[in-house]
Amino acid sequence: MKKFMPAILFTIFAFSMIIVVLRFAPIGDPHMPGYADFVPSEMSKKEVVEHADSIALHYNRHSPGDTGALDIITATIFDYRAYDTLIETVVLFTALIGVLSIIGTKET
Amino acid sequence: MWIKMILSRIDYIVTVILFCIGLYALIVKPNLIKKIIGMNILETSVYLFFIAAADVRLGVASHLWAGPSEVTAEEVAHAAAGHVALVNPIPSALILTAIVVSVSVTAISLSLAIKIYETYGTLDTRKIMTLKG
Repeated sequence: MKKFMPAILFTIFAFSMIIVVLRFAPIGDPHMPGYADFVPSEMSKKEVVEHADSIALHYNRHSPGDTGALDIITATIFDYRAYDTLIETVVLFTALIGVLSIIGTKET
Repeated sequence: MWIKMILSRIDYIVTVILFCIGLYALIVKPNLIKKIIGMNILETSVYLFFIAAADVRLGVASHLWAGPSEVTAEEVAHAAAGHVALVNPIPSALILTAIVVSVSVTAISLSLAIKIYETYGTLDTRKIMTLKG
């Protein structure tokens, strides 16, 4: 009984999370949080794309004119959020310093 | 009704199952390498959740919408005016940051595991807890 206790607890946890997840908008719905979650749900996808306004739709509409990058993810990463991408290297170098300080030195 | 409700959210359910598998391995498994593998599975489930939430069905993927070679100025203007449904680009950009953090955490964890193995001669946490010095 003690052996199976974690599995039972994680199954209960998984089912409670699935119950929460089933209340989300279906996959592929434009009324997702961050895309067009504030427009009425009876609006069709075409109307949402033409009339709604959010930060994602702003990026989708204006990234060619703003940045000149045709790839919208590239425009988001390297132009709108360039400082995020730039300071990300600090994370990598901190990890490198950590790894080198743990196993990089020879035992004497 | 229930089948349709579940099938339209199957990505989220797979995400939850992967999350629970990763958390189970992270907490229950005694081997440190298996704990790190579980942590990676858990992070992968979070990536899948974000990418599934970014999808717009029958929308064009944000990095494919014009194609690298055959794009014209008219198509750019057409998409910029909002006549084409495009996938949400922000989760893809966020997940890139999350992947970098995940790689860093995995590197630190594996180097600590190497050091623990050198010192104690085992990776089993039950044995490490009983050892002194």
